[in-house]
Amino acid sequence: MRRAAVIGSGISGLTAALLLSRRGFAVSVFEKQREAGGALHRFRRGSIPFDVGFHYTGGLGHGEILRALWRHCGIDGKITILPFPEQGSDCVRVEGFPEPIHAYFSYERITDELLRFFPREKKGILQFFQTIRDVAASIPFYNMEVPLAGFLQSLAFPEQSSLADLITSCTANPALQTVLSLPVLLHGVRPGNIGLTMHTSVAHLMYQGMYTVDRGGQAIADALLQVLREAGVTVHTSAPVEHILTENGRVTGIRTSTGDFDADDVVFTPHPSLLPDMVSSAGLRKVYRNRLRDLENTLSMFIVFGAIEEAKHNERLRWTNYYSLPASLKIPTPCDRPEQCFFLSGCGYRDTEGAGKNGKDRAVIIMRPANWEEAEPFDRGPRKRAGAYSRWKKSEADRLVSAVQANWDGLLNGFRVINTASPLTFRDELSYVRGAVYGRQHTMNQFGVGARTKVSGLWLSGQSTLMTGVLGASLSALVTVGSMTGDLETLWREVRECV
Amino acid sequence: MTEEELFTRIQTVFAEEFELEPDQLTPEATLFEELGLDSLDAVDMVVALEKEFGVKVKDEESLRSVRTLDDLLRLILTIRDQMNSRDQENPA
Ligand SMILES: Cc1cc2nc3c(=O)[nH]c(=O)nc-3n(C[C@H](O)[C@H](O)[C@H](O)COP(=O)(O)OP(=O)(O)OC[C@H]3O[C@@H](n4cnc5c(N)ncnc54)[C@H](O)[C@@H]3O)c2cc1C
Repeated sequence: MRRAAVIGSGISGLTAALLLSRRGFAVSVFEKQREAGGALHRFRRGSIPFDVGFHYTGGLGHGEILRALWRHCGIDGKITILPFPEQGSDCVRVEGFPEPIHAYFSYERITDELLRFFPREKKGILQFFQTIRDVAASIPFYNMEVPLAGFLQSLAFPEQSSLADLITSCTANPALQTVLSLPVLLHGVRPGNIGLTMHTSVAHLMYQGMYTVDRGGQAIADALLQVLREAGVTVHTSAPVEHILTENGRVTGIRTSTGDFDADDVVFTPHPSLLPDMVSSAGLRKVYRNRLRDLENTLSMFIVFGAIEEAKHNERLRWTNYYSLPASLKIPTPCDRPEQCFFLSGCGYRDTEGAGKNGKDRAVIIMRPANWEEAEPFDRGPRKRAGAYSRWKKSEADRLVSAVQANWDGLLNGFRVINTASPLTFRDELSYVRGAVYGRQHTMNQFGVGARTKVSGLWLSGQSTLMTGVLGASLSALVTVGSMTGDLETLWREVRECV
Repeated sequence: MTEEELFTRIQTVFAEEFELEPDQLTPEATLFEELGLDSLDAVDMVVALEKEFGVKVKDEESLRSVRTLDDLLRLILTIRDQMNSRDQENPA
């Protein structure tokens, strides 16, 4: 039996583990943290559950790709998928524009909304959405008639036209430009740097309908963990992998803090920049090691986790996320005045899980883009210990909450801050290089990171490889496992049959 | 930069970044058979050349005809000329 060690227990690691065990591999998963799930993990404060890396996703409608993959993995029946209802939206206030605009999760409804606000931009709006639909029709994950191999090959080379090219050719209106670029917040690359195909792989889903899962990302991780247990896969937690063992250009196993483990294949899912230091230099060429180390990263975030007591229940928070954003093509880069650019999700309102001591608290999360440089000064021991870091986090949290209150009247009545996360938190809790929440940038200026490496038996997967997000990371597992077995086409056919 | 200087720099890139022996790096040396590169190295090669010479290789197509180090030199010269003539047409 071929033995595989999977490093990392996020959605990509767990999915890869399951697909491999279904294909006859003896699989073990190794996770650095005390609990499995990676960005899907839900943490609790005072028994209130908070999601970190999963708020919503596309691809979960009947016949859609993520639903099919989850059915193939056998977790479809173990989770409750909650579609955002028709009136659900990302509600966006653009700097300088008088009214909030609802970015609905439907091609028709968002088009209607934009035509209502920007009647003179009709031609550009229609052209924009038609182009996104056309590009989506060339992506095999959304149009299963398109051959997968050719598409994957084309991803290796940078794309030639960007989202910004499309948007500026459709409209010069700054507020409209912002709304059309909104999905970049889900891949973390500026409109001028993201290829149109890569952007569409995220945006098309948003315009097709968005979904969440009852009990959040943890429910997805738990379902996968249960199926893995049944399949005899061991998931080792508190087991940071320190070294990948090789001999004559072949993987022989991994080294963790508690001992060595033999393996014929190793799947590495953390940030690829962390790989070079874990493999002896004989296996990987210097040029490749440098390329991985120098990968340009996505933004980091500053997050305020808080709660509102249900007595002050606010229906506005249930199926609408709130955004305040600068005009034109500036997101997702952190703004000059950071508190002027944020997004808010009342994720606790969508959940059946009771929260707080009396089951009445609802989690609300406010996020803003952040730079590594904002937090880095606090990384030095003494300053951190001196409490400067806590004071900084507190003042950033207060500024963000005040900004939400100033922009969205009454939305946060009864809100209290419970916890915060900074770029340092992401570095420490998820091993994100420079706190980059979506891994490396999938930009037009940067070559792709493929599944195969020069060390035979060493494979890459995860959000920094194929695509980012919960869906992207899941699909990366599919592609990596397909490369490992040498039979991606069969695997892809089996997944399509689950549609 | 003369052709000769350019070739010397290509040799340096291959020696340093790909950790190949300098005396292997003749103009006639074939990338795949003699230097032992494979399809996985192709992207790294393009990245290294972009970094060193500022030339953008836009697609796999143009790489197909490259068999030897000398072919690579020709490709870089062609791209460089294209970029220069474009700059002359659209002065910034
Ligand atoms: C704040 C935030 C909000 C987000 N919102 C959404 C959203 O709404 N929708 C969406 O689709 N996506 C969202 N994302 C992105 C999404 O969460 C990620 O793209 C996806 O979960 C990444 O999965 P992964 O398996 O690639 O990586 P991860 O989940 O990061 O898993 C990697 C794992 O590897 C472990 N690890 C690292 N080093 C080692 C080591 N040496 N040994 C062992 N284990 C190691 C880490 O601890 C981690 O558990 C969000 C992300 C963040 C941070």
